[in-house]
Amino acid sequence: MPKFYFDVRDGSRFIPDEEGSNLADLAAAEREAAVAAAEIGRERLPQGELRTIVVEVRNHHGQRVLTATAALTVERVVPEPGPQLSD
Amino acid sequence: MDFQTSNHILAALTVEDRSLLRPLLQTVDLPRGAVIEAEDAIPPFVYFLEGGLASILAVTPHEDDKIEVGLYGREGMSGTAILHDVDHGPLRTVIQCAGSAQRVQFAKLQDLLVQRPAISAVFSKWQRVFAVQLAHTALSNGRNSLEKRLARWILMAHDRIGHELDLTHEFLSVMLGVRRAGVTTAIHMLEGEYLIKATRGRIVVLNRVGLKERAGAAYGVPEAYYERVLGRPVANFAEPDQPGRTEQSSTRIPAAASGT
Repeated sequence: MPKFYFDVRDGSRFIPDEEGSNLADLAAAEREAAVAAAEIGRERLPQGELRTIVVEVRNHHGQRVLTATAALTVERVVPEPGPQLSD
Repeated sequence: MDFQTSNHILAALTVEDRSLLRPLLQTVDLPRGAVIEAEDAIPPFVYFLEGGLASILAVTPHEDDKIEVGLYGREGMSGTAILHDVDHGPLRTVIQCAGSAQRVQFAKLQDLLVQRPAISAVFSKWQRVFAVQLAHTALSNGRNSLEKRLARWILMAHDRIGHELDLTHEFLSVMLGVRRAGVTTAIHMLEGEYLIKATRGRIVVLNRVGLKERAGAAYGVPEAYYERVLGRPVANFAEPDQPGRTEQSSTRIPAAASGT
């Protein structure tokens, strides 16, 4: 089984993967990266200081083969004026 | 004749019960990865750890669907199914950090328990405190951030092993039930706060007091219950008294004090 490395880009931080994981194929690496990005995003994104988590996947040659990005968008909305209440 | 053991359960037995058990015991080394209780089987032996770390995994027919639900070292024992005359059920016990143990054949221990109910009473206390640990692992998995869960896990391993923990991120991902990249990120966060130092395959605890602050209520409640019920702490070393991240608290706990 090929080995894949999952580096995490978390705002300005870059957290390299030194261990790597043996996975069946690129499709399995894609699922792994997507779930990892969602799990890390679940932890870190609601804290508010960053808005995207990127998991970058390298193959055993060190070449990047895919990225998975989890993003959170929060928007405050000014409410539209409601119907006038008559007295 | 009595004997010295670092296992808390054996040590909690009366001198007489321990002498009756002694001829049945055999000292064994437990390498990492050894399965001491397999799912749905009656374990051939009951183990009283004298070092190392055993991990209980809840398992399903899908090998990927497993997660650690509890752990113990020399403060505990395997084989509590013996109290109920049932098999081990859908759980697996794996040695995660190598150590040694005293073991006894399940059937022979069963015979002894019939004659010596006081031994069963001690085992039952352990089973109760371990159930509380499992409950708090469920609480932590459901409510705490990954960093808190990791801090809790490292503290629990530190209590049992000492300040140097041989653990891969792969292993921790099964322990904590998240992908490995999430574990790596959480380790990086704790390292950034100088609470631990992680190298490939090893985590060194730098600041236990700081880790406890980081874990908050995620750590300590089952440990207090253990001490209340069994009359001694899980860990064999004294806690530093001063709260907060003082210079002193960041010194390593000496290997001798951790009992290894």
